[in-house]
Amino acid sequence: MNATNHTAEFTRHVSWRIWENPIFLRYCRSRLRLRGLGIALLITLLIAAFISGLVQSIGLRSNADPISAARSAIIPLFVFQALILFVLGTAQASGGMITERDEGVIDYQRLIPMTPLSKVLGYLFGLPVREYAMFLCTLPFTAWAIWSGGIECRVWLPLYLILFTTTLTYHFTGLVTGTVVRNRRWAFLISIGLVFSLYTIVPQMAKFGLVFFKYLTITPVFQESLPGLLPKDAAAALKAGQQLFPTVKFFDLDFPEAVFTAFSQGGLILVFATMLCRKWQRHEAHLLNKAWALGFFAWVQVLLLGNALPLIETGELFPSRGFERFIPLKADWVPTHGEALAMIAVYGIFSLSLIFILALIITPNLDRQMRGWRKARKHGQQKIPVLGDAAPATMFVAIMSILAALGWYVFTCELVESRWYPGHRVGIEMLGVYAIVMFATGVGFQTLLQWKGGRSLGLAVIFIGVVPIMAGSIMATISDRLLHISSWITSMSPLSLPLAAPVSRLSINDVEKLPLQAISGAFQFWLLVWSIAAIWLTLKARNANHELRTRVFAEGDDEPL
Amino acid sequence: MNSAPPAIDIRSLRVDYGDFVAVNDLSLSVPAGEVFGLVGPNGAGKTSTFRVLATLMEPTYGEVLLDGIDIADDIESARRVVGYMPDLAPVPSDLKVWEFLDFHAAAYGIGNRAKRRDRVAECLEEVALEGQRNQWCGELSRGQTQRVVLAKTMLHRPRVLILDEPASGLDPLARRDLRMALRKIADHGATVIVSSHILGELAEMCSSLCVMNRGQLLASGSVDELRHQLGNTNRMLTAHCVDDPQSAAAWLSLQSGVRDLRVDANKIGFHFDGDDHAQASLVAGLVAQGLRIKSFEEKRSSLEDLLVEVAEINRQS
Repeated sequence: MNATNHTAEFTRHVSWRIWENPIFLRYCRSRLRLRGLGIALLITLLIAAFISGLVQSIGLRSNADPISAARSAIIPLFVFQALILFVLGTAQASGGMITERDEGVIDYQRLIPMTPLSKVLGYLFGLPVREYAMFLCTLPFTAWAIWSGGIECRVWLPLYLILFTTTLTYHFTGLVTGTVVRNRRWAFLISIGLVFSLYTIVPQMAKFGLVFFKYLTITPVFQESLPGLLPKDAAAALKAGQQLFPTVKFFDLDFPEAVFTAFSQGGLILVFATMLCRKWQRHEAHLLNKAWALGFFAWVQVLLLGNALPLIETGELFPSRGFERFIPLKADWVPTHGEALAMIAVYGIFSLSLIFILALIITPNLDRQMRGWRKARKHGQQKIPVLGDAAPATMFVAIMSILAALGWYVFTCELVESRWYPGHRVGIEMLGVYAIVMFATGVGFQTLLQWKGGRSLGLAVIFIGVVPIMAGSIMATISDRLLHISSWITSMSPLSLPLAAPVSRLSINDVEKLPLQAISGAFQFWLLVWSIAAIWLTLKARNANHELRTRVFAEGDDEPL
Repeated sequence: MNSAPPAIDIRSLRVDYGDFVAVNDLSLSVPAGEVFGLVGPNGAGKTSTFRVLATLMEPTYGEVLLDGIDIADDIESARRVVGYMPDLAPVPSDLKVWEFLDFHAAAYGIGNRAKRRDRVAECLEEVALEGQRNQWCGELSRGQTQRVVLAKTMLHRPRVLILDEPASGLDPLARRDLRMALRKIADHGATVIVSSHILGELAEMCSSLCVMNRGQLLASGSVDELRHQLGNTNRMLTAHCVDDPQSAAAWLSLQSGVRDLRVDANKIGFHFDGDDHAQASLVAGLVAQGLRIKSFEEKRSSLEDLLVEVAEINRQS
């Protein structure tokens, strides 16, 4: 060893060569040790064999032909495999990241000269490597069921491909929560909770027009593949019943379920991968940069509209139409006005929530703004680069607000002017109303965060956003006579504006019992108040940022940068 | 004249945690090949400084150059020249010692499997842990863990080693081995910056030191320079007279820098504020007066006491 040979020459790791990835190999070593793996594989094999044997023998006993009996095992096996990958794998992905952080060894990994993408892929496939091994050991049973059940390749291949992309989506979710959430228990609960809610709560949103969410699950592809997987007699019945399920359409395009699911999940995977790469690059970095956040928001808007609009004409978008599959409705079924209003409100609320989440991600706090100005000064720049983490995010949130208003307006027009509500029209002024609603709430939220920080924002959300809605709701249930005042109190919350806007401004508002005049008056008053507040907050946040700049630039040349 | 940039160059570093200032206007320059110590009580800002140096934390402001590379501009290149050993040196409990080291060797792209094996063996030998190669990391003692992490830190032959409290938990023998290992690394051209809250521990292993307290640099240089900069040249002197201590005491009381004079039988004790030269003149003066001095004792307050004293003053202020 001598002075010149200090610091070894490094070989660059190629990201896609997972089998050479040191982080992946490190987890192969630790998680595929015979001691732990042996028990896991033994239990997996036993369960898979039990499922396979039991289901098939029941089929044979009930005089099913051998092909149908063999086929009957594939769905329980698939559910078992999905549980291994989705639940155990996701828990391992989030828990593993937290363990690394708790043990403190994550700092070592930050310093190793691997690209952020190599590190992400190493963890993505390394942390749940045992779960992949468990999955692999169930495959012979599946292969046997596919072969002896005569299941066609075009049925099982898309299903297993989507099983893989869904697994990646959930594992990425686990990695992101494990990276961002500090508390081990919370990270575990959030990541598993997200997977659970995707299969229980989120599908309910599909009933209110947000059809896109179901493509984050394996359900659509599974439903599509189901007739080809089931025993022949059951498959025939299901095929007939399946006509009732909506098929995937994206604007005027017709996509196979598997392709569209892969497309939807692929976008999300890309966003998660970007988030993780940024965090590996620089721990203090925002999860997304501003351009990415804007692109992601636009992408979600396109997906929401692309999925929802084609379903309006057939009526399959409406929740009450969905119930028809289970409860026969009368022949002259038409959706109610209230249903349409609720769906329009849900669209607005969802878009606004997404703006809030992205604003939380891309808004710099005062400390970061200060650092940004110091860096700008150091480099002789007069401005912080507009896409930099330290730059104010107001402009981007304002653009998101306009995009949200546009998407919301298109959705409203298509719904209200559809054949289900003849004679109703949506004026262009509604676009302006939506834009003001989104701007007042979205930009108000973001500028308050930028100017006063998370604590003040949290208090504002509780006392200005949530409490009026709670108080108004309670008053509304006490007596009809209080509906008028409760409308004023509820509308005081900026969060209620996406609901109040369609109710007060659209012609399909003949909902019984609603004090429309009060709602309309309150909406206009509070919209004005919050718009002024948003403009005031924007100016305040801007001034605060300029003051920081002045302070930094006024420091003498001998002052520290 | 050596025109090479300093191995570590910190300029006006500041680290804030909200309203709390952990490091305040710290400037330091460490030449290549030095073992440099950063000492200070808990909460002095050592770990924050080290985390910034190791590129694990973005400073509030200030510049850090490692081997001439500005870490704000080129973090990837900076990371290649750095080896970092954090405080409490964690290790993953699910790996064996060789697996842990091999993983890092692979991550740093150190050749093929055979080359990695050789390098791992070399580093284990340097920290005297060849026998623990197959032991689980989680089963190592505190001192052994420290040494395994030190071996990990040395794997890729970094030009700058940042060691946060590496000697904590080590027994005297292991501490001596660490001292020798660090010296050896520095002799090979690498620069080592090492922290501790025990000054004596650092004084033994470092060529120069700096003292931090409450985020600020109080003094830097060699041990003697530190003593001087910290404003404590005070020493307790005792003169043993053969006879006539009163005359000696009378003469001493007239000399500058002499205070708190006490006579106890033939022994005269006093504090003297002066450097070595002044002390030599004082002794010569005593002898020149014809006073019969049998012996002369000097007792300085230890660096540790000095640090406690400074920290205490700083806390009170």
